[in-house]
Amino acid sequence: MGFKMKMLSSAAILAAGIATLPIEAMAKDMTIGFSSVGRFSLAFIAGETYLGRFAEERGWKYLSAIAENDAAKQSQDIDNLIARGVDAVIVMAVDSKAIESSVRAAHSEGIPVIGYMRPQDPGSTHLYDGFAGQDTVAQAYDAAIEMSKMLDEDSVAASDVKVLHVIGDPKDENALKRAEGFKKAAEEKGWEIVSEIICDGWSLDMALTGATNALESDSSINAVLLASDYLWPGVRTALQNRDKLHKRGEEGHVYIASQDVFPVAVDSIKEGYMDTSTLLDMYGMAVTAMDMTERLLAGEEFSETTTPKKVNWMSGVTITADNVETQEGLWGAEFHPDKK
Amino acid sequence: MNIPAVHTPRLSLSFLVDHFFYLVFLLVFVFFSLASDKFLTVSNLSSLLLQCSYYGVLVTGLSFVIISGDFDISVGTVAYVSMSVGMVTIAAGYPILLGVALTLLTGVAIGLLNALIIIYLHVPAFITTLGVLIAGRGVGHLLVAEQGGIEAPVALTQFAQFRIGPLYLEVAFMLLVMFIGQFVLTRTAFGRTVFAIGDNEKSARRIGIEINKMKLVLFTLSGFVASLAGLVYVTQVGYLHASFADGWEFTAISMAVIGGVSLFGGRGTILPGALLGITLIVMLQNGLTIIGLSPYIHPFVIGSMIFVAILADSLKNRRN
Repeated sequence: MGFKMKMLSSAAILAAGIATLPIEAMAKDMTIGFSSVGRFSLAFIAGETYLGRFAEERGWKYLSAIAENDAAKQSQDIDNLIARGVDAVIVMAVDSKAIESSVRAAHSEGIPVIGYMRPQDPGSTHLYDGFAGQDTVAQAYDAAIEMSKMLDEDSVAASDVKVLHVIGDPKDENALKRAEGFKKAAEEKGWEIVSEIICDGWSLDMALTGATNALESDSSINAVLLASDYLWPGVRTALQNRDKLHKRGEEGHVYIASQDVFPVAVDSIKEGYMDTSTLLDMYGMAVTAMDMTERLLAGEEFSETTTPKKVNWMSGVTITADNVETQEGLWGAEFHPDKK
Repeated sequence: MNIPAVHTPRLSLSFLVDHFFYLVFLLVFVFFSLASDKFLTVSNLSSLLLQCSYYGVLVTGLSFVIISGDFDISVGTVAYVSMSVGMVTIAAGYPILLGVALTLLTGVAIGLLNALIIIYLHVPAFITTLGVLIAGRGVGHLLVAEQGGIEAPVALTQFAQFRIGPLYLEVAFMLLVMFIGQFVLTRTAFGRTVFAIGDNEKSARRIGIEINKMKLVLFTLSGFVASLAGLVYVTQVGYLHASFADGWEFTAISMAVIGGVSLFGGRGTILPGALLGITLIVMLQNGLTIIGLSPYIHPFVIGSMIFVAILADSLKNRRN
């Protein structure tokens, strides 16, 4: 390398160093507040942990507040975080409309608000400064398409596929979007949905009784589209009671396409009972949310033309027996009870 | 000349109100039997009864409390917390029997706590058990939810696979518990005292019944039976999770009331009343799925049934 090149390189490094200096300088003094919907799901705990870990990596102080699925409490939680002097708020909303006044309060103090996982109501008047969530229609669609590949490999004709569709909680927008994704795939592939069940409040009881009744009503069911593998233990028991729980490759196997990849799904995919589940990417969403937070604190703004965009919809990876041992960011494996 | 009186059978309102439930039960059963050939099969009836089993156990304890004129809306939470204690114990490597014993002891302890608050702090049963319902969920989440749920040991779930002919072992267990409950309620001094308190607490106190002692026993019993119901359920589902037994209390109260256990106290039977109430709700869920009705309609049908049952109970109570 010649002298000129060395000089140029040094100048470029110096320039880069100066450009990043404000972020580095401010990093140590920052406090990030996270307002969580609750800790009643391991997925939420994983998200909370990842955000805390990434804040710590940046040398930031991290405060979290748990709303326990109470929208009014969440609004108070955010107000309290503001009062405690946070520099940015990341929020996983119980009900985005109910926390609008808190978003407004944060903005009036110059505090950016970043949405995590749960999107903002389109009618909201005070918008988040950034958002990282998952496209749940695509999540369900991808799982069903992955299952269709397995059906093809096993030479099961589309016209022979009889589906039990477990919708989940009809009050949860994500459940409805997932149902939309599943139906789209089933329609495209020409599968017959012979029974649909709902599980109010993501009730495992309803998954168990609903699946039991559905299997009684139609013993030809040979595939299940499952809104979340949180409900899998109930469906699994119903299949077992009807002698329909068999591993892939065994006679009478019922194909399962699910979502989220909870620890119980990690186990069942490894064992061969569950065929596929699309990852609810708690890790990827946390990476994006924290990256956006850092940039917002450095003065950047996001729009639909920036990278990342203001609103970011991520797609999860479909997990099968082929990648369940190797996939990175698999929170269901990282937070598996056996690892404690 | 004496003209013999002509007795014509009359379908009076009181007759209808008294026998309304049995009529509805019969109609629903016949309707589903005709609507689908999948309904009236040994396999389906066997699985239908299995779905009744944990509710049967739960409603037995709850019926005692309701007949005595009180409420226990913490039973779902009691089942959750007690199972959490038991399953955490088992997951930590301790013997299953110890886990089961701790489950039942926790149920007794929470029931006793309910009773002590009601008796000594004079907090109404509804408020006390509501508080325990909310606080207990938090305790359960602390023990279980942060682990993402706990798989039940195979030894427990194998229990659910035993059958006596087409009858699951849990169903036989439920019938035994309900039979004992009905026996105690109708054939013992304790049972008669429960009815007396529910009928008129002040009068019962006047004739020397120790109300506080009875409440202590009833709420403790309810807690114990709720934990027992949790155990029956875990043997079926094989998994303890954050929404375990969520909402059981209201479903169980509805089932008892539909079966004729009066919300106003002093009236009701476990066999056949409560059992038929449970079976009707489960039969509706089962039959509506089998005939292929949209799942979104199910809550409307079942909710309407509960409303009508409570209306009938209210009419009966007014008349009495």
